[in-house]
Amino acid sequence: MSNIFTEQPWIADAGPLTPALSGAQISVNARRSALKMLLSVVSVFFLLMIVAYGGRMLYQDWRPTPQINLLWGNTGVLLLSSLCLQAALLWARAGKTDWVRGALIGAGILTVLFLVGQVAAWQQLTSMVLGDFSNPSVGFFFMITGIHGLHMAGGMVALMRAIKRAFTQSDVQSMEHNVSNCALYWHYLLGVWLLVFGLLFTGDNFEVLLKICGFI
Amino acid sequence: MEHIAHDETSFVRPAEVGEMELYHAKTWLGKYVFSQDAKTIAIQYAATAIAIGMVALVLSWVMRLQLAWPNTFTFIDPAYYLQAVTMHGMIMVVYLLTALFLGGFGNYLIPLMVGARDMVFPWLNMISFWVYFTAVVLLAASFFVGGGSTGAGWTLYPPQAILPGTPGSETGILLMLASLAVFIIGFTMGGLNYVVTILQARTRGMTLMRMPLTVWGIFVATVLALFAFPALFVSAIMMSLDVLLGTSFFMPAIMTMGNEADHVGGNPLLFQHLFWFFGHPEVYIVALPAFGIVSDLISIHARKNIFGYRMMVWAIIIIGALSFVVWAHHMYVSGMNPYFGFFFATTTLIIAVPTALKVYNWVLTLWQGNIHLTIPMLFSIAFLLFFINGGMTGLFLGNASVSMPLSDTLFVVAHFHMVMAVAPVMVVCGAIYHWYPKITGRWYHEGMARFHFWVTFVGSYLVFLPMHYLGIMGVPRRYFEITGTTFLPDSAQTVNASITIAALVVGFAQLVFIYNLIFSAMKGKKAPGNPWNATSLEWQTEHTPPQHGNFGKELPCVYRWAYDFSVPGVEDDFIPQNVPPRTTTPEAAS
Repeated sequence: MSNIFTEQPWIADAGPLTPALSGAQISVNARRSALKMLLSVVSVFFLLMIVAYGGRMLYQDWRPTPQINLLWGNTGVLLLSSLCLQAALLWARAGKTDWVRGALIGAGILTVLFLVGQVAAWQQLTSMVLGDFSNPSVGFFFMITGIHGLHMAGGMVALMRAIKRAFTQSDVQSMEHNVSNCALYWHYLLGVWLLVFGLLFTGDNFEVLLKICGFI
Repeated sequence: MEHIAHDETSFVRPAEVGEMELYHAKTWLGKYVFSQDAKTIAIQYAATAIAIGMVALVLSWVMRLQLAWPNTFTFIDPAYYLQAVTMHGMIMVVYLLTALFLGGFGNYLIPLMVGARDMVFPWLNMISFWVYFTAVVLLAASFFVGGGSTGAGWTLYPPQAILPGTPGSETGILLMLASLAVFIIGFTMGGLNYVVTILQARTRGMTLMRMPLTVWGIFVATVLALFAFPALFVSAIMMSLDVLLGTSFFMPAIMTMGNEADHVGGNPLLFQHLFWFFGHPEVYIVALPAFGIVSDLISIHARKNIFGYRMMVWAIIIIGALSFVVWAHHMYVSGMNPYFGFFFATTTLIIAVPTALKVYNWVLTLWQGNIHLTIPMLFSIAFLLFFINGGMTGLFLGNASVSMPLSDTLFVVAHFHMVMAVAPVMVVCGAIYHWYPKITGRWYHEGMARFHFWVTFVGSYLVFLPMHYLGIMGVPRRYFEITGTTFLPDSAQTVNASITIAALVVGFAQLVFIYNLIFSAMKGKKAPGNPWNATSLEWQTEHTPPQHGNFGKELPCVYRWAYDFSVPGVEDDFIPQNVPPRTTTPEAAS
């Protein structure tokens, strides 16, 4: 980055170029960079929803979402799925291909279980509020969990491809790249889930949220 | 002319990263429809954007006909008028300008200008276009559904947007929201591609600070769009849920058509914050690529290096960053806390500083330059005039106390058309004429181009300059008709009629422009590979138009910035970026 501040671009080269100055010589995985960029965008997305939620909580007529205990179980399942991917990554680095395959399949099954659990939580909440979605906190619950679930479902597409390649290709380095990207995505979405679950849906976290949003 | 060494191996180390593997389509469909070549995708983006932009142009005629001669055209009723206003605004801002600058120019120019074979994710790039195309189809479909398209204004403010009585509140608004969501998904795919390509696929020697300002403008605008569009996406989802599920994100307890609505507890202001958190950066998403492109056009056609290159780069970055903290200046009349208003007025005025620096630098680049009054240069100068004009009125509207009486008047309409509609369109036209010989390998018809320029330039002034006066007189925007309003003199109506005549003529000139582009692509004179004697890499390709893979067998190496014009002691008045330095060996350099 330093050359952005100090480089004098009007001076042409007078000698050999250094690798640091040369774009095509930067040996970084483009997919990894794109994934990090995507996660930054997704962060803005969730941050805006959380800020919107916090802003709405300030109003006198705020009614929190009824508690749904199933969400604790779902959180555990998502945590396990993330751990599976971390294990897969470690095994990929160690070259234990068979273990990687098993861990990837385990992560996939647990993710599907998480998504099924989230749908069940939706059904529970729908019956609790008798189909009346006019309470803003209920609307936020459906929207935030729904969008998080869609991101998980999108991640499943990448995970399925990683599983397929783990069974059909023998290139260990390529497998490690794929597993590493999946693991990063899963850890990130686990983090997002822990944040929104902790802040929004586990009881009266009103003050914590308002402090985070800068309202008090 | 001094001797120039051509032994590149003396200066450049071998690349550490191998050449990217290009996908070579085997079928006609794969080559021209579902193409993975960024240049083809760019043309697809541009053609689609211009096509839907022409629809928006016709809608502006509908508005102007009604305003000039109220109740003369029976097919224009208040609902149709509001629909035309809404669709014109949304199409022009999002589906034309954003898509054209980033999808069109971005796709064509980024790989060529940074010396890459293609975008780093060609398949994703192809999908990005087709998702955009789907968004355009969804939007266009809203013209044909029951109740028609939404007439809520391009800002789509709730609760009005989804209440009965507003045109398109049944299906039109949903199609609009769905289309926006799809657009954003498509853009995110493309945007990731542009950013990663610029950061990682530059050829050897192309440092960030050697990139042409066109690439810098598109790069920062893309980053802005990636971080600003989520706000629109969130608000589109929330409003859709308010309509479909009866949630109350934005809808307060409200009476509609004499009945109590089902909603309770929503906050309409929340939508405004989310919308403008997207909406203001959107201004710069359109403006920054225009800033970058016009910098290159001015430099090339004045045969002079850009004045203050590093300052220009940092101004682009600073403007981009500041654009995220000015959004509420669009909401001065929403009842905000005065301290809040003061904060946003201050940030708004601060952003004028780097913007003004850019204007000074453009003028100083022209100063004592060898100015060639080519069509691209004419459009560049026109951009400067419109942008300065629109920027100055921005100082009025940025101040909360001055903005309030002018709010929702035609002064606002005149301001934003000057600064973010006509000014960027001038750059679009200049840029199309500038790169046309490279894209098609042929020249455009000079006479038609000059006709297009002068009619557009003079005509646009005749449209938008008088509009300021109407605004100061108090003529409101979005009103179906103003006749019979006691505080307005008859002359206001006369001015309205003259604006309409000018708008119709300007619109006709755009038809000539499009005819010229199509006609010349087939019948125009053959153009050489570098007709402007430009320095950046897209002009140094082996073939014109560039073939798939852009460059020849090997990627070019870059030794200098893109602004080596009129260098003392050099016979030609330009040195391309890929020309090695004067005879200097590594040993001599050390």
